[in-house]
Amino acid sequence: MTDAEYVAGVFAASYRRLVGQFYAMFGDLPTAEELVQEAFVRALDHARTFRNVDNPDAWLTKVAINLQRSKWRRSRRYALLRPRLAEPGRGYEPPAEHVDLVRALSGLPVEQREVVVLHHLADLPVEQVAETLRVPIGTVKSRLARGRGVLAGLLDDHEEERHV
Amino acid sequence: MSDRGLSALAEHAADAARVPLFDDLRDRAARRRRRRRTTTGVGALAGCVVVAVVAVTTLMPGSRTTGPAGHAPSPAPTATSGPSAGVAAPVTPHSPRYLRRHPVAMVNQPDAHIVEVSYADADHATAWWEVCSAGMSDGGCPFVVTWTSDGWATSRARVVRGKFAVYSLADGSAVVWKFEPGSFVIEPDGSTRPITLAPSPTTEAPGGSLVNLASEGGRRPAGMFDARSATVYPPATATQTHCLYDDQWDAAGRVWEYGTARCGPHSGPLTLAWSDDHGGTWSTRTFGKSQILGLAVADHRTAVLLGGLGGSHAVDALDITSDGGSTWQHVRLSRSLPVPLSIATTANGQLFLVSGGALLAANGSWTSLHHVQGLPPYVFQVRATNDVLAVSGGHQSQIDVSTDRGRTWHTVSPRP
Repeated sequence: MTDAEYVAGVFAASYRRLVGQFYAMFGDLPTAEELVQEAFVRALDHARTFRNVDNPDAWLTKVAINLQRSKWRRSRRYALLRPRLAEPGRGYEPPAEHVDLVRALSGLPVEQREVVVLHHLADLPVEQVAETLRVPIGTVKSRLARGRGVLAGLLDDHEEERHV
Repeated sequence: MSDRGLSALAEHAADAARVPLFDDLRDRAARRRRRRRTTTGVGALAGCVVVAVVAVTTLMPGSRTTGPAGHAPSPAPTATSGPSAGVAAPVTPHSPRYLRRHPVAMVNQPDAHIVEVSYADADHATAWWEVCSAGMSDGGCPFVVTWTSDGWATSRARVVRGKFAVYSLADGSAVVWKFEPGSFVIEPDGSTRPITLAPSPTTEAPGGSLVNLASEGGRRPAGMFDARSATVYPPATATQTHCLYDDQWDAAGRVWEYGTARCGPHSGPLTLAWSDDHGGTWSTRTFGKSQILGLAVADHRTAVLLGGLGGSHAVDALDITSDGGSTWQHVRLSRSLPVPLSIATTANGQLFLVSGGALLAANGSWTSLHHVQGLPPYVFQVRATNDVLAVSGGHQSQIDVSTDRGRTWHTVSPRP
């Protein structure tokens, strides 16, 4: 198997899932598609390195997040653009039963949205979220707790039972 | 534990996603490589031309435009401020520019929330805040440290940059531990001094004075520091736990830690190790397929490991030793719970953990957990220091303190 064939295999297995993950993170389907496609282009560009990474999905996620951050930094209208990034994307409307969740997610600062999505959706443990976002573990935990608080009732990990 | 609502939302978007042909992406990568090569060639050519032009103009007689030899050329006219110099954004008491220079105002923003709390005793404590208000996080959300010497009746604030963790000392100062060089101590009056680094593992008696330093995602080892002198010691690590996830010292001086043999890919199984001679000799134990998701130590005989089999986000069992690690009791929980964000053990050995936004306490035998009453929802951190049990979080970013092992609580606001 060549390096490009390996990337193609990861593409076939992960592309849609990663787009869904980044849609939840940034609230816009074309943005999510573009980020994931660009991450795969970078993977092809560094195919040998990519083949040796332990977790290809985590690598692609990290690249896509860095791409989006660079885009924001370059944008002079960052502060104006940013709240709009969380709105439902052009040409795609989430199903009715998820509208509340999309609205609640769009109310979170992007830093909290990133950790909620990476932990609850991408299933990364806190330590790996910290590594992906390059922030201390304490920051991840704090953002996670804060995000969970805002999404109260919409995430299903909040236990109400009194004994375990 | 993956969230069902979030998963369904992402799956729906994934189904609606446009999937490009993989060959198109490969072409994009190839075009980019070609462009890069071309750009490199053109850049090199342009560089040669510039060098040639500079050389020719310098060597040609009469080409000097500066004054007589030995005189520096006249400086360019200084730009004057005014409308043509660019329009600066207005600085108001709520603008990011103002807030970045006024940490007290920053902490009092509604979006400021606590990242970490550290108590040396009931009076001396430190809180670390993150402020992700709109417009503040361009280039990373700013952090502020607040510290008090009177139980948060009064406090001070200071902006701190970069990645760090904060610890409170009993003299009212705060240790700012950075993951790169540059750690320092903030004195009670706000002045700073560099932190002391000890060259070798400590030979001092631990037990209360040594505090764990945060690790960074298992990639770098944690450290220990003496909370009286703010001296940092590198951690003693076993071969099997070289990539350290967490370590703790109990009151008798035993080091407990867990980690993997290597960091990064192929890191090996998570292993628990303990040593009674500052890392000279180690005992180790692995726990089969069960992952270690947390460690709490009461004393050198009693410790509990939180473990999980069903994915990395759920604790479904406890492994408990009460004879210093010789034998272990495996207790399955009646229902799995989200991986605790924080664990603490009080001086009398009672275990507290924060899971799913609530504080849970273990019974005496550590075999069942119950919710602690009287706290706000969505707490995320518990800290135990001597007789002080501090829980932080909630919608208001508050701290709830108990001095009677969690029976009663009073709320303090760590905002200056």
